[in-house]
Amino acid sequence: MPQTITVLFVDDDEMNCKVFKRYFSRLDNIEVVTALSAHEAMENLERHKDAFSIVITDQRMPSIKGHQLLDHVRENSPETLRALTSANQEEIEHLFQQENINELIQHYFDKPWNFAAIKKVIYSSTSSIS
Amino acid sequence: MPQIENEFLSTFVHELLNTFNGISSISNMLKESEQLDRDEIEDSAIDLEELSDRANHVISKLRAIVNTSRTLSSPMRQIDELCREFSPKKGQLPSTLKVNLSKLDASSSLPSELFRVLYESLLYVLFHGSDDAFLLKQTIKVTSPNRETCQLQLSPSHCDYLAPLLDLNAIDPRLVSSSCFGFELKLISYLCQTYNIKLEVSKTFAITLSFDF
Repeated sequence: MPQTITVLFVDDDEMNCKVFKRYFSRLDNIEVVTALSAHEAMENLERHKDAFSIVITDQRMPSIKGHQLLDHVRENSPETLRALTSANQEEIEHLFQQENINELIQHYFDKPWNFAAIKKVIYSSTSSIS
Repeated sequence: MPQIENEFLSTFVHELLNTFNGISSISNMLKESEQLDRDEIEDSAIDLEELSDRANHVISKLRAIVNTSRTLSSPMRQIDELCREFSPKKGQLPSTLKVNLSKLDASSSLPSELFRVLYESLLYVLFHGSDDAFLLKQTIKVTSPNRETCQLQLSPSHCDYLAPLLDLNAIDPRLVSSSCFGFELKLISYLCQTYNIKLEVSKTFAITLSFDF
């Protein structure tokens, strides 16, 4: 039986969480858990240690930004694939000027989302785990 | 019309794209709709309507600055009525954040569109920190103190985060490009310039707006 891929999706915009979950939960072997803040995501990561194959997070969120959350994921769950999404090109260009940022952010998705590209990365996350 | 800065437009585009992302995602889902049942299609239609309203809401912020004649020709309505309509309703805010309406003038009127955009921006700034997180506690008392000129006063119970309001001409551009807090602050500044609204902030951060129409 194929392995279920559990995705943790993080965005302070409730509608984005809802839409993401609605689309990707319909696909074979994908389970989606959503969180409305980095704090909520960290609680989920703590509670279900190593349960997530991939974390996809929005960059601009209150308090803790997406890349800071991914840093936490790298520290605490290094096997989990890390991806960032954003609607702010300028902020992302600035972020990607930082040294070694590509090691932290393994995949990046612009908004509006290209579902095919996200799907491909999600399915690749099982192979990265094994 | 004030010179609109890139940082303001950057956050404007971010907010609009975030909403457009939802619309585009639902459209994609509907395109692949062979397996969607009727409930899912109905839910999608409701979400699309909400997202379209949100997009219009974002656009109305920029339109209030660039299209003054449209804004000024929106229906004139009494301040007390406008405050009641555009204050957050129960359940829209965390329970520790409140708006208290008190002694509102029923004789002064303002263009409703201008009032809505300005009032919502002020409430955003008073209820959030500069990182866009809700404050833990805040009560804003809203009054209209002077009957000679049209005035509106918002007095927050907590003012630790409100230093940027003291000088709207010196808002940090990085704050505007990286947060809704900065964006709303800049919007207040543009609206005051565009419509000749006098904004005074007391030592206790009571904000008084005087309208000259």
